Amino acid sequence: MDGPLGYEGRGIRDMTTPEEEVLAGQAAKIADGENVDWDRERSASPTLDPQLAGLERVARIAGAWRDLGVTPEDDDEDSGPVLFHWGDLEAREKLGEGAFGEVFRAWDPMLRREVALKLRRDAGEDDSARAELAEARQLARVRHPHVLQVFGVDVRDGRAGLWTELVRGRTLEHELRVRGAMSADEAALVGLELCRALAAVHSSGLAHGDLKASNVMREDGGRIVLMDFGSVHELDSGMPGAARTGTPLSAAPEVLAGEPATAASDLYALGVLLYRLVTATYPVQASSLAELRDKLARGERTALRTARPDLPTAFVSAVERAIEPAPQARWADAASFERALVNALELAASMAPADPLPAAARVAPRRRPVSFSMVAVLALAVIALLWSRGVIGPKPATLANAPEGAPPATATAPPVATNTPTQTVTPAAPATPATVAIPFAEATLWRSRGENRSALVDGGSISPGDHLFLEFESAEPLHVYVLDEDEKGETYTLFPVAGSDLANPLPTTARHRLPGKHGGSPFDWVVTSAGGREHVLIVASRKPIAALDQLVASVAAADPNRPVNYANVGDETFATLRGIGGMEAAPAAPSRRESKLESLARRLRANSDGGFWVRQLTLESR
Amino acid sequence: MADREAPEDDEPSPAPLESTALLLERVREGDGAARERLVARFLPLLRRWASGRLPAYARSLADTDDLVQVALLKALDHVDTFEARREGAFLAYLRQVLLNSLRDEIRRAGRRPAEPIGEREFASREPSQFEQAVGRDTMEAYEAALERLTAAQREAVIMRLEFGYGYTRIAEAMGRGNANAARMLVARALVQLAAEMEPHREG
Repeated sequence: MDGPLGYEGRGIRDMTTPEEEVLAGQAAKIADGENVDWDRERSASPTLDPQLAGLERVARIAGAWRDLGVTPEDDDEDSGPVLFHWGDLEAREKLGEGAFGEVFRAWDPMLRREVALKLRRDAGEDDSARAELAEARQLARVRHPHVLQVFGVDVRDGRAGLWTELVRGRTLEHELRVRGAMSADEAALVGLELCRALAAVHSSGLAHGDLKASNVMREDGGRIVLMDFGSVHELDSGMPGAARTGTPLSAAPEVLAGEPATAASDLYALGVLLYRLVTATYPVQASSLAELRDKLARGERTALRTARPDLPTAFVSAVERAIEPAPQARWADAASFERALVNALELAASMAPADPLPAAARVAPRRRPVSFSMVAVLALAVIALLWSRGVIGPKPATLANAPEGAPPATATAPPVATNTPTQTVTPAAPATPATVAIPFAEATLWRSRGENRSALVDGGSISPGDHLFLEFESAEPLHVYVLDEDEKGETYTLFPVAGSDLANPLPTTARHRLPGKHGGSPFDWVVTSAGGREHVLIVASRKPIAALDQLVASVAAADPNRPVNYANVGDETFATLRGIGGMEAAPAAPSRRESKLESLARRLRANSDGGFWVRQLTLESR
Repeated sequence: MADREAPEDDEPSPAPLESTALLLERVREGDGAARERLVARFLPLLRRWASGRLPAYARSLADTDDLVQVALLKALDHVDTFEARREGAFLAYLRQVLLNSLRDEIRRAGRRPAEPIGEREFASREPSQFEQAVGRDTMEAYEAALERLTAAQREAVIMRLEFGYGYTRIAEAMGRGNANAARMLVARALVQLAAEMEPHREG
């Protein structure tokens, strides 16, 4: 079954320009009483900001009427004559048809809502049809906001079919045709939602099998929905994939070679989709399947950097890794791809200039200030969304590539494109892009107490007896510095420290737990007393940073022999490093002065050559 | 829709068996029964609408039902004076009559500063619920923008936002083909409304 189950452009399809379509789509949401994320919409369409601001005002008026008890009648039941019945469903309007059968807008009297009804022309009694229906039934168990919801599958009145939610919007294919290529930020936002959709599909033991622009819809209001699971099948079914792949140009090489679709091939297809969203073309172009296979075998493809030299490196590298010919060279899973896209957005946000611009940023290619501002807001919204939804899971404080909490004020130097190579990527080519200025790394500061463990974010709180440690992982050896400054201005080195089995540069062999092991036992930093505000600075760099090395040498190091001033702490605390301690009762009004570490972070960013990232956390000790 | 129950008195009536246009035509011809049915049809809608537009103190001065009924009968008395073949046009006319009646009531109560009505509605110290919800500036900008819309746009906005009409009913009221066409009309009207409100142009 191929072909979207959506209802493309319903009611606004004769709008003449993409801008009008966007505005009319939002207006329709207002009229339907649906909520609109106006900040997000303005970020996505910055040129429409005045119009969207006006619509937001209209939305307040509509909301006021609803608050006064005016609830629009739901007239779905009356939305057209009944063409025919399929079981209980009332088919109201044909939306499309193809070799597979037909798609209708239908009314489900049980659900009391409109649905999309996809009917085969037959009863679905052949093997492939039975397999499709069985898989669709499995898909019906997947529940995710970015995955088309399947309500049911059945054979009724001699015809097999399935019914799903009816999505009103436009396919990404349509958007590409109408609007052309997207920006990296917009594509990354789409990619984030599709990563989450794929994660839900994969965790159900399924692979999508035919992810492409025409199978993804942007619902009126902005929701991205992964559609058309005509090629979906169980990950362990072993069913050959080539014959069922609808779009060879999006298919992973191994699928074209006849192997079954997998999570890895879905990620490849997503990489191709994102590539296409920003270029309006494919990484490997061919006029025949034979030519395509031949080019794939030779490792010929147009590097994204070549197709779009202006794109941010982090985005380019995330996409290029997804479309690695060898499955094992791609992202390990959808979550990893998602993190890389988050990093790309965070990095874009971190490029928002401080005032004045640091020297390093001034010499880098600049975008218009309005773009900086837009990007920053956009990325912030995404990060907030991810964290609030817990999508990043147990690592809400995962930090990577200079993800500052206040991007507009962050001056980490942007990556500088030193060349724009045209390259033929071989199947074994490393994922590292040709030009990388800021290392890829992830760091999460954890707080643990007994069995409980939570990630710390900027502004988080800590208490005496809390164990803190940093999980750190990078794609290349990096020098890591962790420093702490307490309320009184006392600075301590948390890492590197003598006696630990970890030393700079940290190797890439594993995810490290800092401060490391001492005598074979893992060490933590422990909060030793309450009160005050702690500034934690984390810096990761390819090269040693002289200023930090000097600071590390000049301030007190964490002391493993310092006892914790807290009664209910076990003996293991005596084997801790002196990390966050010496705290006294905080003044009633916390000082607003810039801490030494804040000042240091600012200077580091200002003088960065782009080869390191800086993260700063301020924690309240209570 | 999933748990729609029998409509309460204040809820919009279901799709009418007799179109409003037909009833209006009969009212023009002097059909008293048609007049009663029209009153019964629109009274709940207008009562709810008025409750949101009337300042609290004004609500204490006159029974809302009486006010609405008077306005409704006044509109029907003048059914020959406006183009009311469309229910949308009739509803917009009713709304205007009622709005004027409310203003008159407030003015008579002597609680309203003596200033021209113009676009400034209910310039009292006790705003209506609607004004409280959106603020005076936005309310005034909204009313002014409504006036600048085409008649069809204005009717579409009023029917959907203020009276909660379904798209099917709007299509019937506007003489549009179907619910989708009505949805399109409403969406476009709201876009235009937003444009007319930004920036708010006085007068």
